[in-house]
Amino acid sequence: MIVSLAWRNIWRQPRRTLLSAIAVMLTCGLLVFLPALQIGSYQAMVDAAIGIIDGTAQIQKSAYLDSPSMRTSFLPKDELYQTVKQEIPDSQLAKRGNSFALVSSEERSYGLQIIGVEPEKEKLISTIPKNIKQGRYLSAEVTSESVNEIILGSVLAKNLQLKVGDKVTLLGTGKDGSLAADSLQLIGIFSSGIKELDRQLAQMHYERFSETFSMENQVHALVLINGEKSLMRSYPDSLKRYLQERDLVLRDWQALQPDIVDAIKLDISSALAMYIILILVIVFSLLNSSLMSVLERTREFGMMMALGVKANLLGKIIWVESIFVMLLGVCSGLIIGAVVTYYYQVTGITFTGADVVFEQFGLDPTIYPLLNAISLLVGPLVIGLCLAIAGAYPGFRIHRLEIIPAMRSV
Amino acid sequence: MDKPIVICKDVWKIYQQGEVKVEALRGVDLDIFQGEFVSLAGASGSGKTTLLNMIGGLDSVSSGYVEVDGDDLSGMNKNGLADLRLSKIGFVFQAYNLIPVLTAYENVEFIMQLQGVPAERRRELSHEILGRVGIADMGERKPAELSGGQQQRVAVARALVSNPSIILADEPTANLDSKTSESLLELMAELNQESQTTFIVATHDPQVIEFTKRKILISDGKVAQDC
Ligand SMILES: Nc1ncnc2c1ncn2[C@@H]1O[C@H](COP(=O)(O)OP(=O)(O)OP(=O)(O)O)[C@@H](O)[C@H]1O
Ligand SMILES: [Mg+2]
Repeated sequence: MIVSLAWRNIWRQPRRTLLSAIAVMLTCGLLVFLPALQIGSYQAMVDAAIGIIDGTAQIQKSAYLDSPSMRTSFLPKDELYQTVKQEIPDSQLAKRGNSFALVSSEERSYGLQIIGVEPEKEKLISTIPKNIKQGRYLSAEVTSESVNEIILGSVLAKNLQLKVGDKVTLLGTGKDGSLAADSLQLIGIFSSGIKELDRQLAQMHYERFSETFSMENQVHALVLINGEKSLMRSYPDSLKRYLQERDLVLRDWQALQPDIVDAIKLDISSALAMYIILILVIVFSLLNSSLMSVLERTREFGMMMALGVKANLLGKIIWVESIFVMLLGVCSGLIIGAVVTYYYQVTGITFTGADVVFEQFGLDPTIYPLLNAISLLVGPLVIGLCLAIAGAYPGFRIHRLEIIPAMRSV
Repeated sequence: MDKPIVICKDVWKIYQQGEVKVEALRGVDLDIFQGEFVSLAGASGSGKTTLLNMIGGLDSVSSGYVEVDGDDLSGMNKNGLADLRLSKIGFVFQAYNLIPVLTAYENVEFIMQLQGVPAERRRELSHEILGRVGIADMGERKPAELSGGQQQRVAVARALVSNPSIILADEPTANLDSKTSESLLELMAELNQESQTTFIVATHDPQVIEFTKRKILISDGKVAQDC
């Protein structure tokens, strides 16, 4: 009876009910769509950032993150490879050695960061092999002929006034503190999209790197290929423990890219403030329309109370009315939000005009919202809950109603 | 004779309107017996509605004693009064008697549902009572689809359906033309005869006063005449 009375009551003012429901629907739809868009853009940001060079995760010495010194290296044993393979199926590990060195052409010298890599595996990690502007990437096979190959960032090559085919001299310190010197051949120039890297990065074959810098086959990092790319990190605890016992650690992209994590956190908190405002607006506008509908029926409620209907029951009827409007809005908003989000998840949204900004960060101007259970349900649930709670208030106010004045009112 | 079904003893009602005190009832003494058909007559502002509200438990007396069917109203709280109204008193107001979103049947059944009458029995009774008030074929209509007289008939049917001790009617014919008024009065008189339900009708309509067996004249908040 409460339910059918409440249902009929809300359709006494179909326009008001529809407007309220539509307002809830739009808010709800936005709260489905916008978080999905956010997640999509974060994912794009993260993908772009880790795709340039870092990869999804790296195995390093525990101390390496804080003091990335030459000496903080380790020997990649077969056993380690096997363990990782077992714990994370379809994964591979790529060796990396990192060092700083002085690079000289005939005319000038600059400081650079040189990375020793396994070229074939790098293609699965980094966009640098794809972004060779002149020449080619390091050869897949290490032969006596190819082993002295080096590639340089475009700005660095320009500063050094080097062309593909020229000789490059490296001067640095080996792991053991000895002088490390090498003469290599420039076979390619890359342009990563990140100025910083193009100005100071170089790559060479890991084998030659190990020799030149007296690494004795040790590495500074093993990059995990096919690691967990999604925003939620999860790696097997058993793997973490295995590594920990060997003074190693698996650094996921959050650890490798703290700036991005901070940027995402900042963006989430400002978005959250906006969502809260959005919810408050809808709660108060619905509360207002509910109070109005109660006020309009003062006389009717007075009559019902005169007949012996208790304020509690009237309060429940009014509450159920609010719940109906809320459900109409939330359900339709959920569906519409999900459909719209899914549509754009497939087709993508291109932010024309913002392309320049996006490109600066190495981002594609087309963003694909990502629908997931959290972004789909949290917003509507919170809206529903807030409206359900607020909707009880007009019902409480009924307790103040005095029968005789109520029946006299128009 | 039996114990009266309504007893009023020295009932006072004083409204405080800002600085001014309005003495709406000034010591009403009144006994009404089971099965009576009583009119409360009097000029506008004499206190008819106020007295009816006191008897109906819609408002509390300032001083004095009111008893309905053995219950002392002064000792009751809001919820107790609501229960008393639900079980013992039927109301017919001047207008806006019915819940607009419910059909005539549903309006009649609504009160029974609150009283806990089973659905089957409610259907039966609501059909029967609408037949008795002469609008059997209009049960599925909403109040807005009924004429003023028909709406009042539904209100009477609702007041009567659960066998209350008394039915209180405040100006039930005020919005009706004289022909419709008369047929409503005839209906009430008939129901009063049949069911021995007590009717108390507040009115200043001579037609109504003429119709009732016992005529009580209220003047300046007191019973001026009772015959
Ligand atoms: N809530 C109130 N506050 C103040 N004064 C009131 C209130 N209700 C009624 N009164 C006053 O009490 C007196 C009696 O009013 P009441 O409504 O009982 O008269 P009535 O006989 O029903 O009149 P009518 O025939 O016009 O309906 C009037 O003087 C009225 O102004
Ligand atoms: Mg009156």
